[in-house]
Amino acid sequence: MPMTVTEKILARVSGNSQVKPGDRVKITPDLAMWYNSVNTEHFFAPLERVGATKVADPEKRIFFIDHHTPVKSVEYANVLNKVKKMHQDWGVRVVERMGIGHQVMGEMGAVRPGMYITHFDSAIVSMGCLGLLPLPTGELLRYMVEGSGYVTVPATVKVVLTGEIPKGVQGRDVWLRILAEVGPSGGQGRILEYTGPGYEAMDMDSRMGMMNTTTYCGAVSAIASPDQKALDWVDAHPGEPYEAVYSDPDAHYDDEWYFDLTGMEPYIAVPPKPYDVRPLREVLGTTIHQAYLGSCASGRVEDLRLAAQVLKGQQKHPDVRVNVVPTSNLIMQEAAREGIVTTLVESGIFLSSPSCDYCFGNASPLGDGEVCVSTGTLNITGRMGSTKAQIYTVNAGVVAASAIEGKIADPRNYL
Amino acid sequence: MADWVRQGRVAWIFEENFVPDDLMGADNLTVEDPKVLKSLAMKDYESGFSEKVQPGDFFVGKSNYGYARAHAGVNITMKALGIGGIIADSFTLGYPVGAANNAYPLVLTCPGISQKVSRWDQLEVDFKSGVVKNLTTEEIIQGIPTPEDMVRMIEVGGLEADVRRNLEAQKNLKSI
Repeated sequence: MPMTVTEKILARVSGNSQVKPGDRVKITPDLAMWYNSVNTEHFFAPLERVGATKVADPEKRIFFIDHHTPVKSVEYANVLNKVKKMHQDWGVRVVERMGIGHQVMGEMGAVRPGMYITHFDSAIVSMGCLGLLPLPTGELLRYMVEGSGYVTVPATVKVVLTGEIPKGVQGRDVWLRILAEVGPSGGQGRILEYTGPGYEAMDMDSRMGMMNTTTYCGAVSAIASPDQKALDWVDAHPGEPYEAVYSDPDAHYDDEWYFDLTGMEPYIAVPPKPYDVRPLREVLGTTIHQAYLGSCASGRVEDLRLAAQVLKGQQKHPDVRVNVVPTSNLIMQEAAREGIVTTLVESGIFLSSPSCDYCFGNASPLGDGEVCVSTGTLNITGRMGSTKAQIYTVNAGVVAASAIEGKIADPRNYL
Repeated sequence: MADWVRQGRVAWIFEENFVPDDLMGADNLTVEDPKVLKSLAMKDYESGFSEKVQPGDFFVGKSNYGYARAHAGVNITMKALGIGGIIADSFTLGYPVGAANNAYPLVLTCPGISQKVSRWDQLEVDFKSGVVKNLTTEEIIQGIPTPEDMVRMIEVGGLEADVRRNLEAQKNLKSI
């Protein structure tokens, strides 16, 4: 029976020769990850309550310290030291302050094509463009203690992209457009498999940015059969040997969606719903107080490069706080080598080392009545500080152009 | 052992993509006091809602119930109201998992349910087999049965209880 890349991976990790959508299968992930969340103590207390003294398959686990970075209180410093010690005692890899785990897992060669990976955070879906299956879980405790759990095999939607993205438009605009067209339940319970010349033309940073918030349309994840561009990215980040997996040409798809990227314009998600997406032109001119470029959705070299192109020779607006936070340490190094860092800093922006904190208001929180343009993941009420603030999520170029004008602006005017 | 077959009225039929935090409203996301939450419940939908609802009543949803992350106050609010379960045309992927983890609330995916019931209809719902009887209209609607592994988890009291039980069983096996 022909299978999709998703079904092939699920068949392998469930010990079956084949699976089909709707099957409930017991799987053992190749890798499970988690991070020091806001409720780190609440998160680890259940381990003590169930009586767990060790973690199953510790060599297949990674603990990222990317939130509360840098630590801002003595109280949390003590919590983190305790949690770090716990992981070291279990034999779990601890990766601290190297960037956002959803990116660093790829850079450290820990994720490879054909793998099944899990995490409690849906942002791992970015890594689906490497030809692996990232499935977020609500049962991380079970994977930590028992090593395996049950999932339902999702049906697959083939998403065919044609045409090329114009200048000043990015992968996350493609995603926002898809979300606008299919709505918050359009992908429900299914996995989006990207293909087509438009997808192949996108670089890896854009693909990651596009896949990052896939779950906002109700889909469970995103994936693609790995093309040469994806394999080159993987091989540039050495790790274990792998065997790439591809969808069979005659695999069954639940649905097919077609999007032509030719002549596409930038999109914007307006507060407070992540799926309230409109063409950018409808919101131009809205006054802003903060601009944020970073997160696991954006903040990669492509994003920083676009922002630098927009900001080159310009000064940020005096009334706007501008935070630029590269997604990882490696990305920051590359941005420094390319001169991007110099261009950005010369424009008056505030540059931070990698951290998740700006995305959820744990650094530079919004005050009452403030408006932010953000490449973060979410625009819901209270996400970045005050519940009386508003967040618009956009591409990196829009953040840069808005930072100059002090209001929501179109980056294409600067390119 | 969970009480899988339950009777109650349809207390409310929510819109598509219902965000559970809207039960108490965006300004009250950090409230966790049951009495306060009960008084705030559904304030953006109908005044005096908590006085109309009876213990055991159900929530009904359209498609994609449970959009976005739910704060702790959501379950506290539903427990304070005495909500006996949620039946929806469909849920987000995470919502039924989270509900099974907590062994509350019982949820049932039942495509078409939102069109086949009206507010205050009396229902009998078997959350395990998926059968919904609308006692007011006498219509029987077949939902999607709850997977066996989730039934086991709910019956033992949720994710933590299930993992604890499995861990203890493993230890006992080793000591034999």
